[in-house]
Amino acid sequence: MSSLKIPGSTRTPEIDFNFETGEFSMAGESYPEDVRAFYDEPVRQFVGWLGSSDTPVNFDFRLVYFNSSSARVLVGLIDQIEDAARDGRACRIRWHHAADDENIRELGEEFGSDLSATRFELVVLE
Amino acid sequence: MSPETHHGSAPAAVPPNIAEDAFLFRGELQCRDIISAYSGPVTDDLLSGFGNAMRAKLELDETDRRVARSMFSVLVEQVQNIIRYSSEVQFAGNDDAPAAPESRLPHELRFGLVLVGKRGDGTHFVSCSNLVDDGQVGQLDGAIGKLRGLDRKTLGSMMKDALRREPPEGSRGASVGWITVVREATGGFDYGFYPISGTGKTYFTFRAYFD
Repeated sequence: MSSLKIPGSTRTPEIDFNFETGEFSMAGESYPEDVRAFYDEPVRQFVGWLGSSDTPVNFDFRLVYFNSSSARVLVGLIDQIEDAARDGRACRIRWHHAADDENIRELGEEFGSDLSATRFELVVLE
Repeated sequence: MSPETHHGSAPAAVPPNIAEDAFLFRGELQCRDIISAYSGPVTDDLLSGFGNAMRAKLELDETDRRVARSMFSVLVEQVQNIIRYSSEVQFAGNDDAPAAPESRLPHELRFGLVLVGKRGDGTHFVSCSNLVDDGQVGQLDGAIGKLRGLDRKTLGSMMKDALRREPPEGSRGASVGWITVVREATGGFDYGFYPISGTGKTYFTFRAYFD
């Protein structure tokens, strides 16, 4: 389990999880036909890794669109990362958004607003 | 075949010109400010195709990208609602007994009406309609009605709270869908119910406006 790569598709994001370096990325659009069928395995692997390693976490969200059922998954991931950070893990989340995409930016601000132990950065996509 | 051609020997009825009929139907859609219309069984692939065509059209029209993104977001939430919840549904195999409630998408098709348009004042709309059971009307009305008049900031924090809760009983997706839709409908929204007498079903329409 050194990495998990899933290419992006019309309705699902590209997933790039590197369990060696602790670099994680999700990019593209997310409105899967069946959210659990798509996300259950990546989330399971990520949570398993979080619990079995102490490598610092760098998570990049580069989603240009996600629906409300995907948002539930994202909030769950962010909560898991924050829990690890509160246990002393070095955790950073970068939330990427297009310069003119105030909606993705606002959602990032909202999701990041409760984080105290995780470093949360908003990044403007080139 | 020319429009004047008659079938058989019956003298009276001029056969309908199907092209004229289609043109009039198209004109009816245009009169109602409709750019794109779909009625029938709805799938996720249809949603992607319809949605991407809508985005391409909005981009060619140089529509504000903020508006285009909000429209796409509302389209996805609403159309996925039809795909999961429409009470007009056809099951594979035995009509009366779908195998199990959990074994859904490949085994069932749900029907709805999806409209995208632009009004004379330049505002866009996305409108979705489908049958619901009469018993769902009160719950739907309550869920949507209580969001009316709330500002974007309030809806944003409500969304986060809803995301942390488990989905309500009987829901296959995020109950946060309605909050998302209302938050994105920058020009407001309308919704309504039309009971279909004797069927136990009600036709439901939600229309979001964007400015």
